[in-house]
Amino acid sequence: MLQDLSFNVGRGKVLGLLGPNGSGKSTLIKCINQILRPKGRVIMDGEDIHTMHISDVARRIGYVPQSEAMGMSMTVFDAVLMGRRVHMGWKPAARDLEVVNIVLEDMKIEDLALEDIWELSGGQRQKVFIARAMAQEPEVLLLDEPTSSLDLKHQLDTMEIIRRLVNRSGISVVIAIHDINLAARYTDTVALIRNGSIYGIGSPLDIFTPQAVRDVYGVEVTFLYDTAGNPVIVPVRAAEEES
Amino acid sequence: MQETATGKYLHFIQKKILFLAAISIALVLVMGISVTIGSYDMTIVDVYRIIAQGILNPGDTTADLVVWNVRLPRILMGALAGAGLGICGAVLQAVLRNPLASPFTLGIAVAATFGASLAIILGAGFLDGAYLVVINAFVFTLLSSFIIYALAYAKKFTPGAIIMAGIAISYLFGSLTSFLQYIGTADALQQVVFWTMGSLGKANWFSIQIVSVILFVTVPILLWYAMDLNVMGSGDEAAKSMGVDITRVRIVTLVITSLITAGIICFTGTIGFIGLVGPHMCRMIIGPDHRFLIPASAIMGALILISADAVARTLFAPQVIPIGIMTSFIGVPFFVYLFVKRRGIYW
Repeated sequence: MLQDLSFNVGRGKVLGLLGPNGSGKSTLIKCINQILRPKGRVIMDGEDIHTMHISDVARRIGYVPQSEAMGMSMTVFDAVLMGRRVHMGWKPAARDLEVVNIVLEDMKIEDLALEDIWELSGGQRQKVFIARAMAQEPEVLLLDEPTSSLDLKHQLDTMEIIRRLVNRSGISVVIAIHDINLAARYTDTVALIRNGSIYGIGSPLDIFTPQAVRDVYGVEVTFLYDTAGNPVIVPVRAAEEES
Repeated sequence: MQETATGKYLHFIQKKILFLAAISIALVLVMGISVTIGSYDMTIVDVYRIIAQGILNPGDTTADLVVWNVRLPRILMGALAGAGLGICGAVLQAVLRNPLASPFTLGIAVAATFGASLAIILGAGFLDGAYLVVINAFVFTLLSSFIIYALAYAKKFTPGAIIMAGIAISYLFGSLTSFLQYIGTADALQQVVFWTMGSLGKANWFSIQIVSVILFVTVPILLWYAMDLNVMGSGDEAAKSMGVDITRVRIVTLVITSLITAGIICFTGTIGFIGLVGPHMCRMIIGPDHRFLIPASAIMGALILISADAVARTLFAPQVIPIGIMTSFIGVPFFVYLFVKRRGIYW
């Protein structure tokens, strides 16, 4: 259960939501775009999201789910075209096809246009789902643990793509993420969530202290520094329970 | 120059349209051949002369009556029933996100059989007269659907809840039907069994009018939702995030598919297979875009049903094998061929 959560996301900024399993990151993401309807308010440009129609929300907020249950075969192009649903009628207009083409090129998956999404690797499929959300041309992009099931290369790839999208189109991103180091490197602000409330919110360097990580994750960490002076957080052992 | 992603997509759309055109032509041909088949001996030229003349000036010879009152109603009803069941299957597989979904998945055919059995065995029902069995089957099909939806609505109308409610109701009507069969006479039982095997033999211009009106009113609504059905293939959460009101789409499409199924099977009895496999065949060839899949499933359903009926009437002529038995014989080889040949492992 989430309670007393309050935070802001600036335009063109990436907010990372971190916390252990079951802390409420995914639930929080789903509350933002009406997939779940909690008591409380989500304000976007002064307007309460929960008073808006679901299609108006979809025009402004894109969403990349944590995983998608395997379903019908679908080509990459058709999957990304789904993102245009709120903008188009029964037949996609030239503009819809153009947006899909641009997004596919952006993600470098235009060669896969007629491939079945379920025949792709996990990393490629993740790009399709991000492309689908971007085809909505949203102001805010929500991502629910987009790197969890990916290998190291695709984790970095995905985060680079997100950062590039933010820098170029100025969208705001809220991302639930497990990896503290990826969060430290690619987000502007992080919120540490513990038992459904915010433990701390601020820049990654301010928030990721050994004490905070211990309090939230129950893990002792040590900090190493790379050649550029950026911290790398290394988990050492599970913290002993305090009596 | 390398083709753009959009170019490839548009090219694929053209292929889908070509497929629709090809199976439409096949359907017209099969209907054209089918109308010439029958135990009353006539040449093909005679059959088409009678049809052409009958449009303006119906004759009253035996040949006229055979063509206009027996063969044409049978074939048109077959086309409508096949089309309707194919459409329902395509839509239900999408809204329930289940490859096993068909117009009969939710057990509404069992309720229809109960309604028919009630009329055949006990002579009880909603209206007396010639249409007692038809009205009973229709009413019980709709009644069971609405009980299923009411139960599922309490559980947020998820596909799992709808299917579970369907299973429960199916067993309930199954038991009630078994009870009726237990107390029924041998003659009545035979009629019930015959009803469950499906038949186009009782088709007439009245039943064709009813089914045509139902399809004419409802199919455009289902087509209207085609894009939403596409999006729902990505799962409920993703569909909501793309602006689709999934509960509304599910309620509207389920009510409509129940109405179509009820409207068809009350006249024909239960004809399985087409609603399950027809959409799969089309999906394997043209993919899951429901703007094309719904019409393709309709044409494919009609094609399978009419082909099956033609075989059913000729194989042991003048004996006619029940259509429900023949559809699988005709459709399964084609389905197996597509199933083995296609590359992907997903539905």
